[in-house]
Amino acid sequence: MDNIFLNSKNVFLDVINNKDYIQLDRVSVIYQSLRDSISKPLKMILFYGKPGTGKSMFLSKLYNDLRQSQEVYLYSTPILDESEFYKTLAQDIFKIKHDAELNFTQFMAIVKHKEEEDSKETPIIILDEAQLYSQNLMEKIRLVSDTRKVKFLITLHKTEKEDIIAKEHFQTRIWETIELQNATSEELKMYIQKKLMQANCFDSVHMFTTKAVNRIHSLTNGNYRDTNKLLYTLFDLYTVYEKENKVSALKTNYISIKMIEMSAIHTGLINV
Amino acid sequence: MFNTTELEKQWLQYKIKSYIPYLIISLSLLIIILIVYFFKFDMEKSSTNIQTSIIKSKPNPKKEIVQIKPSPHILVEDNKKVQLLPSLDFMKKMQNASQLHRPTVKSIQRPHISDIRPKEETKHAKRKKIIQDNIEELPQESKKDIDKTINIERKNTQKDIYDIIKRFKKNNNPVLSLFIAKKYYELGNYKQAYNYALITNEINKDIDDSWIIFTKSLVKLGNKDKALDILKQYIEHSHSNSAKILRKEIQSGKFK
Ligand SMILES: Nc1ncnc2c1ncn2[C@@H]1O[C@H](COP(=O)(O)OP(=O)(O)OP(=O)(O)O)[C@@H](O)[C@H]1O
Ligand SMILES: [Mg+2]
Repeated sequence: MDNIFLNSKNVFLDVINNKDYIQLDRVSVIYQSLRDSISKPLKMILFYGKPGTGKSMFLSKLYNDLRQSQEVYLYSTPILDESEFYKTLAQDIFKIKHDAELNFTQFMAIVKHKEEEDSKETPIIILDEAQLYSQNLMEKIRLVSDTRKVKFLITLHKTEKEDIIAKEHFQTRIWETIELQNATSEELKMYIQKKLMQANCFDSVHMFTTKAVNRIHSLTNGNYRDTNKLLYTLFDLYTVYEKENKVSALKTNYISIKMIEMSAIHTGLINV
Repeated sequence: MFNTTELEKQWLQYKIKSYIPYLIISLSLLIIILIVYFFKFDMEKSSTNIQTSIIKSKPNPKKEIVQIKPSPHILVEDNKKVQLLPSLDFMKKMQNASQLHRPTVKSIQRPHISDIRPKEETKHAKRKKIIQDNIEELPQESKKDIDKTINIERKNTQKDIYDIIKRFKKNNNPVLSLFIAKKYYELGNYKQAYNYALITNEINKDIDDSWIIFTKSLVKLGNKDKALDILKQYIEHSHSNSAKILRKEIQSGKFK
């Protein structure tokens, strides 16, 4: 029994690895539409969702798929220094190494210069956590995308949709927006079961009854990150109970609601 | 890592806390039932009182009738005071609340109309004063009629829009959001027209009409330059004829 809980616990570590990516119905629809919009002649694509809805996970999957067939770069953590940002772009897109500072005008000169030379397929830059870029740099990114020499997929975590619409640099552009949302109860069940299955934790898969999943959903609102945290703690708690020989007091053929709620108290999802 | 006993204690606390609202509800329900039951019992008691007094009175009917008559009166009145008053209060409150509610609804809708109405009304009034003072009362009634009909139309279109917004939220169909944008545009709410056209563009960016409404609203909102900028890009992208026509109209100042 010990192994089951320990293995299941590690399934819910909060790490981004495209190998752990789980195909969920709604997410695959979004995935397809994102792939479609990447092939359209759009300059900017806006991808957003609340924290913990799986954007970074999604991007890592998208990146790994796309790079088989086209030029694509993923900037997982924002490059906040402007000069550094242009230098990285120059290096990635044009294979130009620049040791000294590189400002916007210089960078645009490189872009213009290259424009005449070749007409290869437009490379894609995926920016995660783009809400961290300054307004100023965002505006420059927009100007770079106007040259159509590079396409940007901008990922924001924002809670209010209206907020993004209000943002000046998105207002005047022809852009596509795609939103990732929290899971429904059914999706969450799929998520938990598939995740356990992928790690060969077949015994614990069946412990998640609809009732238990519904309780988890009501606590986490279907947020993947919160669910991970909760389930990690839950299996941790089961391990401890087992060590203290208290598991016999609990039924182990299904996850007990009490254990879920205790984990929620421990992780702070429930405030006592 | 875990202090399981402490955690269990906290969990128990949490459970108890979460049951408190149910406890309060069921307790108050119990109290209400008890009160109702108590008064019913009281009523029954008083009616048996009367009966017994009637039975007693049989040997001396004439006198007793006079005696009995006042007593049920008092009894009933007493009962009324205790039992019925609070419920009457409650009814009054309900009525008050609904009365309070109605005017606010109206007052929300009025301002919309007042944007259009006042000018016309003053015109009306002036004309009337010049012609004849006597007739003044008649047109006022007809004015009210107009007011009413406009009010009703407004309500309908507003309600229409809200219904469609509700539906749109469910199925995210761009046809619906475009309809909403158009309706808002017709009603002169250009800000909302802009928003919904934008939302429509998000879902499907190849709908001509949506871009047209979007840029028209922008012009109405005083952003002519931005509108032209967007139209330019859209025409580049789509070669839309209606967009080209609109651009010409905006540039020449025909549409403003
Ligand atoms: N489709 C998926 N397959 C597997 N795991 C997922 C999936 N979606 C989300 N997750 C899990 O949820 C966790 C949180 O997702 P992620 O970090 O991608 O969220 P995010 O939207 O990028 O949040 P933030 O806005 O805070 O950056 C991940 O660690 C991952 O384990
Ligand atoms: Mg992320």
